[in-house]
Amino acid sequence: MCQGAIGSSNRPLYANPLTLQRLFLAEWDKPRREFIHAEYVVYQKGVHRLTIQFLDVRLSEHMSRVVVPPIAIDKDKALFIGDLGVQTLPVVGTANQANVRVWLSGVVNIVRPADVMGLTPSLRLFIMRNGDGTPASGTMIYEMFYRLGTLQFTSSPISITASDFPSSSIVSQGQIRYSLFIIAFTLDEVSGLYVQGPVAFNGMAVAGSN
Amino acid sequence: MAIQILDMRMSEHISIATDDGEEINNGSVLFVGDIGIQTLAVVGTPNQSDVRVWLSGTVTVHRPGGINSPPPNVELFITRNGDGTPTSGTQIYHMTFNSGTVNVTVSPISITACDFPSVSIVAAGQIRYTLFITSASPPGTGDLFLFGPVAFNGIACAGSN
Repeated sequence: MCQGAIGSSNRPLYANPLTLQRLFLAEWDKPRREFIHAEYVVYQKGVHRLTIQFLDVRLSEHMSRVVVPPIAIDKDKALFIGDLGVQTLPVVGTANQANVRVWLSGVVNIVRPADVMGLTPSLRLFIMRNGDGTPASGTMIYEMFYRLGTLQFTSSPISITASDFPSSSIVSQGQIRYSLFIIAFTLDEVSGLYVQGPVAFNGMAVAGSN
Repeated sequence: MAIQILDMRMSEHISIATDDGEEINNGSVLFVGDIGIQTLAVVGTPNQSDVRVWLSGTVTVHRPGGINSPPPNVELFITRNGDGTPTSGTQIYHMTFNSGTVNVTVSPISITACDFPSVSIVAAGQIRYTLFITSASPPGTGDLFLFGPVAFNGIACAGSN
């Protein structure tokens, strides 16, 4: 506005004390205006600050009901019982890329028949991030043990709640894979424990802060 | 079509543990959770065929002392679009619980269920999910009680990026 006023004048620049004063004020004010403008642009692009964003809910239902016969849990081979890919694409390239949180939750129902073998085996449940579907691949982000002791004739739904705060580089891929495995931990040949169903493994991702 | 969150609904049957509880037996099926998840936002869009519903809840049961009978199986099941009675609608989840050979237990039973409703179900704009509990024990055995708390919640989401 000041420059327009100056440009429209035939007088030499800075000749008019008033113009000088206005120019001075404008120049003095410029950095602040530019700063405010930059802040505004940054804010608009979401680089500066972002509100909370809901990203995704994914479900993996391995069994929806009790199955007959149940599936034996061995000590040598982990069973692959849950798999999901949580999408993070909306935050890639924004400030929220560094502020993603993933809630993983599930229930695995285990049966131990009355004719107990395997004494007091442990069950080991673990979640791998970005594996290839085999238990040794990816990064372990959660591990839980479950023991029934000497109890028999039980049907036990094991509840899992896991949290993951993936790094910016993991989030940048647009999707994060989580896989759930179960294996027995026993000194005996057989664990005497079985996956009876139902088995479900779900995940939800949210990013940002207000 | 981009990911959309559709709805979150809750049903809280009992929020505070009760003193005596209600007997769970095979003479009746207890109606312990009921929600209607709305899907209207995706009706008529490509996401109508890509809806997923996460159902989650916890039911706490009590087995008193001095019981010599073998522990009965607790049966929990969820129906979709029923009318509030256990035999109506479609059963989408069935779980058993058994505390085994121990007495004087209070056991919170967690459930996690998934549903991928078809386009025609989503088209109705709302999906009803109902949770029931029963057991294998005859009435009057007094070996299993619904103590509470009991809560049954659901979240619906659709689409993919």
